[in-house]
Amino acid sequence: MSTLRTNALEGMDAKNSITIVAGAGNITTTNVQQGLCMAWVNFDGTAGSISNADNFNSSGLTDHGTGNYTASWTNALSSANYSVSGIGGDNSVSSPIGMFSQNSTPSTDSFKFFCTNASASVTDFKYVSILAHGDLA
Amino acid sequence: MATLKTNTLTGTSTAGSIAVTGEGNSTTTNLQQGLAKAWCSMNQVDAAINGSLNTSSITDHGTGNFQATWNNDFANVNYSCVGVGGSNSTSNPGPIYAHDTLPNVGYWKYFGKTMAAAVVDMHYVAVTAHGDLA
Repeated sequence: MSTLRTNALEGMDAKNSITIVAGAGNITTTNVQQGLCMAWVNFDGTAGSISNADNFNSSGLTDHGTGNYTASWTNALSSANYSVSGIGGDNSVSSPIGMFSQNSTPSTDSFKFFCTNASASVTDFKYVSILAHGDLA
Repeated sequence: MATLKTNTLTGTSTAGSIAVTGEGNSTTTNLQQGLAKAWCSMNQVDAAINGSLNTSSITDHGTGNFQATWNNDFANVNYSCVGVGGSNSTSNPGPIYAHDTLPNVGYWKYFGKTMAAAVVDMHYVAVTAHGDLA
């Protein structure tokens, strides 16, 4: 095995674009920067004062009321057209399913969303996790 | 700081596999496995793609029922696809659901539903897929 040691990666022709062989057949390529998660955060939505349990590129959280939060990004995305995914859950068996949605188009520097339980009621969840893929500004 | 400038990364032993040391400075993970292979942000109301990676098109199968088709297929149907959906209307902030029990190697089909479980077109739907490309 050969090991390449470096602190940073940069595209040669375009700084923000590196192609990588990624297919199971060792032929198909994809783009490193496009595939990287640009932000993720996990937090306890039931806490009196919510804060990031752990995160990447998240500057903080805002609690808008029961089950309604905003995650803010340290480095903004370049447009509102990025892709967000998430999941949530609770220790309580009465609300074991967490589904996410947002109530407006994304902002480049934050993402606002609801948590709903299995009964389709907006609720705070013990575990909330979201991640964002797209282009950084 | 050392900066490696290159246009392409290829594993030496296996072209599609490069190990990267994790944040703890000991455990390694796999660069290719950690990359999202496809993502798509779309507007179901206008049936339009906002931004995407490896997505050739979206197909409108009726109210709230869409399909994101990938440029480069996955190696098998066992990839992981997740997403969220939402609407400008606070009365329709619902989740999205997989349409089938398994994705297709070339696409993922899903429903958008309101909190009341009604199938509906949403203003914002985003899906992200991790797995092995073909």
